[in-house]
Amino acid sequence: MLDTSILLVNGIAVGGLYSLLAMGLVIVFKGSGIVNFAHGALFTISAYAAHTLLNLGFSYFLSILFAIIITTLIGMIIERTAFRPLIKTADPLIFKGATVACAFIIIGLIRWRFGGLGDYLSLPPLFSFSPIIVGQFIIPSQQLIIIICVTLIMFIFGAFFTYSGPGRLMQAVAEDSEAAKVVGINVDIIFLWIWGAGSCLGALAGVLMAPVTLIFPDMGLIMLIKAVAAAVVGGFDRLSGAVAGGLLLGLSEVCFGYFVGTQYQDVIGFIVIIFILTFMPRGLFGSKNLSRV
Amino acid sequence: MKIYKSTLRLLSLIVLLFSFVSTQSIANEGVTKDKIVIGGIGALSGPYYLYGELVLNGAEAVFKEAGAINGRTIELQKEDSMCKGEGSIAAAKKVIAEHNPLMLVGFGCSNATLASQSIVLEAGIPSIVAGATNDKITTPNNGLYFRVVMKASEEGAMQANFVSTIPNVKKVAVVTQKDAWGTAKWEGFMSAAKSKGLDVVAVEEMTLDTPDATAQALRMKNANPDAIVTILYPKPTIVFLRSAHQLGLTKLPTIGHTSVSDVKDLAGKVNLPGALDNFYTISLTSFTPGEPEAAKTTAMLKKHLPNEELTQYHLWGVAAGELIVDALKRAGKDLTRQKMVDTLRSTSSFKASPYPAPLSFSKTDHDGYEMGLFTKLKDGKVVKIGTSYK
Repeated sequence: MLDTSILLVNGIAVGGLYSLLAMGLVIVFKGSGIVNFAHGALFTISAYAAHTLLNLGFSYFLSILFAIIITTLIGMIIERTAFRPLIKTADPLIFKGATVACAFIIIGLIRWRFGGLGDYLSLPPLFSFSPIIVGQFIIPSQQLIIIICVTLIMFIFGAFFTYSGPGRLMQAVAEDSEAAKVVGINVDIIFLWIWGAGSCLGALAGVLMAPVTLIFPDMGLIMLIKAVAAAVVGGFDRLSGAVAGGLLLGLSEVCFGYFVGTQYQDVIGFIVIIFILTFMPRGLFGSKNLSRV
Repeated sequence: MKIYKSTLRLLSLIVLLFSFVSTQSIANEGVTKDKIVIGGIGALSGPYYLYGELVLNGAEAVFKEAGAINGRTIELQKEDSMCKGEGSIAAAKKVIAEHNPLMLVGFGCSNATLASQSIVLEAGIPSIVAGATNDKITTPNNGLYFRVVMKASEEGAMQANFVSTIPNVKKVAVVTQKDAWGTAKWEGFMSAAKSKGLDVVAVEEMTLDTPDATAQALRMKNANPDAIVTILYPKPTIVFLRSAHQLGLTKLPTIGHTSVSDVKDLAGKVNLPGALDNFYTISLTSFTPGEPEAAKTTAMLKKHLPNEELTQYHLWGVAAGELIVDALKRAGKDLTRQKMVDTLRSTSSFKASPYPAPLSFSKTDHDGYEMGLFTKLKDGKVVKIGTSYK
């Protein structure tokens, strides 16, 4: 029972972070039709920004808040510089190339700026208290924080897209940008918001993940792969799918590692992807409109 | 036509000049009238720059401190391997083609070092390995690679020997990386553990990118070991210790190795009070940065590289640098690569300042160092367990 509770809590915490990143990818994909390969680099920026601000003397909360704002702004700058000028080409391959280029530029800059500071930087945990024991269940503190934060963020973003004006505008543009343009919506600005929202989710995942693992320039690369995996499993055009895909991936990794063998922990995600795509090519919750490119 | 002839003459002259310079350079094998060129290969960027940049900086400080040796100063030409196979191959090719060095130093990552080895051997350049531990780098003896750090199997054996001396410890759990670097240490450990009668009750795996070690820690807990051995790079070590601490596993003696020899730095990164209370690690050096014994080395490093803070990794480079300087002095004025190989092979009981035991090589054995000592953190200070250990 004890083992199960620990596995569940850790699996949900890791999976929740994959879900957050996957949601960011899905938002941008739904809104602009491209997979943002710079998403992992944005995740990395937020972690480094939080670490830098903390070292500059900002409080923990302000460091995290400003890190999220900075990353969101950088995401919006990427939209204006790498996405907007290329929109006339309408070639998904060129968009992908542009976001890949952005990712490598960002990682290169981080390496250049932080390469001499240490191999891995450590961000202290948000709260550090003893594990909570409820009957037979043991809940580690940092994982509990992640689960609470991820749940809150998901609800806030869900409510934002469903009930707020800007959120509904984004939904409208995501569903059909041409129709939205006809009814007078400023699609250009909405695209910018969509990229901002996606980057914000990446930033949130970055600052939550950093205290659990560590901060290093390539941290976003492996997370991007996991986020893509989560989005593919859940269906690339469904936010709920991204959440389900992330949780499934996180739980699979932890449980498979425990029950089958730790040597298989890092490959299980990809086995799940192949399995699901073989039998459900659009993922668990992907719509019929979703096409593979 | 006249212009054409002049241009042709000029081009011929340039080609001749380049041929001459090139021939001179090759003939001199990285040695000129007033300069000795040594190539430095290691990770200068990326997460493993500790094993590259810092090690090479340690060696560079020694070279600068040595000044002119038999009328020549040492020039270190560094190239970035990024701790990757393809990076190491590119770095080796570049440094050999551009600088034709007398010898090479550095090689901080086993996987990368093995990848570029055929290129270095083909070029016939003697090399001092100051960070990579995989046995295959020097075994079987390829004639050119000399190592100043302990080889992996010996380090693994040292972990097993240490565990066997802890009272009431019979059952051991191991968490390891199964790459070229980790496998060599793991095999050394398993072999020594068997001969010491230790019962290995769990062998768990991690990779460099495993984000969470809950599964590993839980499986170990269920195996009920008396002690834990970690054969992991610093990052997975940190991830593992954090998960292990959650489950109370860090109450058991936990034995690390040289990749996490800076135990103070490790404690800062694990960042959980008490997580390293029972953590022991192998240090190759007889002192740690910050100790009074390190004052002389710290001053030397600061004198030549003012922005550097002394770490354990610099000390490996200092040992390599001191060995090279000694060999250059003994080799005399007429330097060749073969002469350096012969001189290095004749090194016997050379005392590098950071090491507790001397370095010795022979024609058949190019692993010069087989000693180290265990350290642990106590009340925020690094304390030594004994004087030296094999």
